[in-house]
Amino acid sequence: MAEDPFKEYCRNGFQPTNASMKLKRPRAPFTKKHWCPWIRIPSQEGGYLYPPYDYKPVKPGYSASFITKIKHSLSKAGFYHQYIIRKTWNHIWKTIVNQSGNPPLPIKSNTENNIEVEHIEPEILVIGGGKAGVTIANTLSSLLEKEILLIEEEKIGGHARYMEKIVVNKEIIVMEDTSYLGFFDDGYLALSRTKNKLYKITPKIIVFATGARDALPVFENNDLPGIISSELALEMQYKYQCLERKRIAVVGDGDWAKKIADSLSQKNNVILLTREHDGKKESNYEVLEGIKTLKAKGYPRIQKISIITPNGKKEIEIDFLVVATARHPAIEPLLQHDLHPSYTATLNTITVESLPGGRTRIENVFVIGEVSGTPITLIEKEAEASAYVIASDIRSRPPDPKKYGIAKEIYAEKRLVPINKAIVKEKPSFWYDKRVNGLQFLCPCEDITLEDIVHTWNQGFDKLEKIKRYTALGTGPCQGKLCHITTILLLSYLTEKTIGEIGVFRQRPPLEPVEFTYLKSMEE
Amino acid sequence: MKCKHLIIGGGVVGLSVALNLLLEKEGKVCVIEKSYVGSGGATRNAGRYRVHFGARENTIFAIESAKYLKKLTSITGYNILLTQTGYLWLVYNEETAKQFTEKNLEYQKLGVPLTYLEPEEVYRKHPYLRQQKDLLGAFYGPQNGSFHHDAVIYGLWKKSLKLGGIVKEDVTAKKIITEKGRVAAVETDKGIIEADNVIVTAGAWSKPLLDQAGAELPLVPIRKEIMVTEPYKYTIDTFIIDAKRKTYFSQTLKGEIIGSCGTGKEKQGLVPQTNTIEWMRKFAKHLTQILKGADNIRIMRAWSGFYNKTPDNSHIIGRDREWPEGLYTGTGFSGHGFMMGPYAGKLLAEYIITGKPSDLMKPFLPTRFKENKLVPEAFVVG
Repeated sequence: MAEDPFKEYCRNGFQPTNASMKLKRPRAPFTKKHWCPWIRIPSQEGGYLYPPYDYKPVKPGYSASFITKIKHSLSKAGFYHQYIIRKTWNHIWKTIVNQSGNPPLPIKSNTENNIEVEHIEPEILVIGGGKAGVTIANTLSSLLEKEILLIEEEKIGGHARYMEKIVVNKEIIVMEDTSYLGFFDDGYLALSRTKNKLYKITPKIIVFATGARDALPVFENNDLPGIISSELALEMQYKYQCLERKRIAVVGDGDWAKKIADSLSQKNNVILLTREHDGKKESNYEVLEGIKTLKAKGYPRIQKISIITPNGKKEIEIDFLVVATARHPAIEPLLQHDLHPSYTATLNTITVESLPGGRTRIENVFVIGEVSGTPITLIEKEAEASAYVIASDIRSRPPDPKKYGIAKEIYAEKRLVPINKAIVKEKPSFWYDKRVNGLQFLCPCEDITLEDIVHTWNQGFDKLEKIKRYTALGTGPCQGKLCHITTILLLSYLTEKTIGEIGVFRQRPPLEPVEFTYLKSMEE
Repeated sequence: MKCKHLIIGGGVVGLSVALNLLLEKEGKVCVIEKSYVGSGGATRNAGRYRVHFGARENTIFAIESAKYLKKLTSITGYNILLTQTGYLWLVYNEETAKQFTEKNLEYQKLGVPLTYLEPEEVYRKHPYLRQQKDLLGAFYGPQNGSFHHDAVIYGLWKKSLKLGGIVKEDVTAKKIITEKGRVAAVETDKGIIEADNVIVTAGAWSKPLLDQAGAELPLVPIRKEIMVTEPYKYTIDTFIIDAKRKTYFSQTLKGEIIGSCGTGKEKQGLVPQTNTIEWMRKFAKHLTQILKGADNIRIMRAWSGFYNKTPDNSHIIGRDREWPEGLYTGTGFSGHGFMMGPYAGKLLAEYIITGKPSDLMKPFLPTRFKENKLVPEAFVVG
């Protein structure tokens, strides 16, 4: 097999791979998942960056950033409804449409493939092979002699595998590099691009342990290439060995940011930017405490950051900005399965409604781990207790009071608040600016900024569903994975409305973009 | 609360009725919507309009609807992004070709002729189509096109608010209350609203409300699925309908390919608006057969919505004299609701004001079912 093109790309300096659609901003992957708009990983060749056939590098130059500012103010939300545009629409629509930075239709390609379909009926399906998923699968397999299927989109252990060893019991059927595509009327769908196999799964019980992902922090120029998620940084350092001897700034508060800074500092020159005042100086990386605002600079990729600290303004030259500010639960599969959203006061983010032991309002659906709002330190304990609850449910017996007691304690730790009562009162930890205007991107797929959202809200579009339709927020390839929770939390904070009043948007299948070649039916 | 006109359902028809009543200054107008404006079929459709229908009455209605759509931008102040991109019907058998040729005589008389294209011409003009050996030819209707459904909804909604209309979201109508043979009020989950006229424009959710008020209509919601892909450069410059595969697709101005196919196994009734693996795989198969390079195109999002079907596949607007006084409806659009909705709303508003149905609207009165004067419509896409 050919070398993974990502490695080569990464070694060549992580230059922009594409320009964004509306503002033509240079873009590069924030994370290395199939849904990331600037990455494409079809199976056969092992992967290529998006789009392989029509990549034009973005011209460098500081003035370009200024030009995007002008473009942005000209094309802010509601652009198409301006008097001059709507009066001349019949004459100008083709020009506007052709301005899109979209790649051409791949009509010359002739990759074709005969997909194999397998129907599996396991007793229990666990989605997510991180710590929570592996622990619950292991415990269940020791308690029950039933078929358990564990699906993981990458490798077992998730990003935690770079820091510790994670082992799965032999009895469990493990499917790695398999994407979960969602819940349909006729079954759960999963796809392995490497094996060229589509799985239709009809389990008796399904456990979601989809974890959480790094939130895209909100500050001026937060979309520049070189701003990467902590997961991608770990992958680049450990898997691709292309993150070495670089100047890295890690931004974030709390243990997770410290852990990332510590890991990356083994091979790189790291500075941690945090809001906290800790005072400890025993680390092998530099720490800058009490930062107030953050701004990225550079074109077409990040070159330096400008921060305001208690000691005044400071500029630091860097190669990468690694994001470890907040983790947003990967709730898309759960919303798609019709579970109601909920607010966790412990983690200050949005998860779904659940009950002790990972039970939900749907009888055979369970949700555990980070995605359910469990603090990181309690994940393993919770997964174990949930396994006992599920096992007793299968045997139609009440759960072991001791284990259920643990489950109840952990559940109380999540401090779930119904969204109709939850207002975000504190400034969200991923927001690093004081103002709402400027190029602070919420939805980098569609170039929607915080300013656009506030502008739209002020025009009377007072629900997320309406904002989505008016601005196109969350309608790009990631389908809201980068912007959904961020936007709700910011809107609730800025407008002082409850999350319930703002609402969430419906999550639709498939949960990541899929090439038609993997879906097409072979029957005549 | 008290209103003169109470409209149940804030979709395209309801909002258009509201706006047209407000434009005529016909008293206090309220709209209640169980979710957010346009949350039903109005934001779930493909955003296309056509003037070519199987029944002459529908074609005439659709021609006027298209004219009204063209005016809508200047009425509401919201650009509905109307573009005349045409429809292309790919035809594979003699029988269908004959039907089109015969129909075309009527279309020519009505001033909306179709153009016939030989296979070579089809593939020369539309090089993105994969060559099919059994293609007989194609019929092209340049009068048809696309628009942005959200902009239509937001235009109608915003303009109605501006003219003093009341639009209440998250209010679900439970029951239409009648007194002495006329409507008196509507019971909702947030209290009772009194009204002189009640207009039911709740799309697929209309039937239970109408039934309960004594206005039984033969309506069946049928769930249809649809999807969009990732955006590509605007290339597919028309709306393609493959008659053999019951498949349609097109490109939005943003560049996404939008399309679907019929499976013949669509669910009936108010079922959850979810999707099926079977449909998705069938559509993937058809699209890769019709469109070049579709194997490498990625599907981004699928959803579903209802066709609110009548026995003759034509819509219902107006009222029946035997119904309680003051009860009206505009529903049962059977899959062409969005293209006709704004104009149907206008006609319905005029009917409410004058009490007389216009000639265009007469064939679509709800009384046609018992009088057995159906308007059978055979051109249903998808």
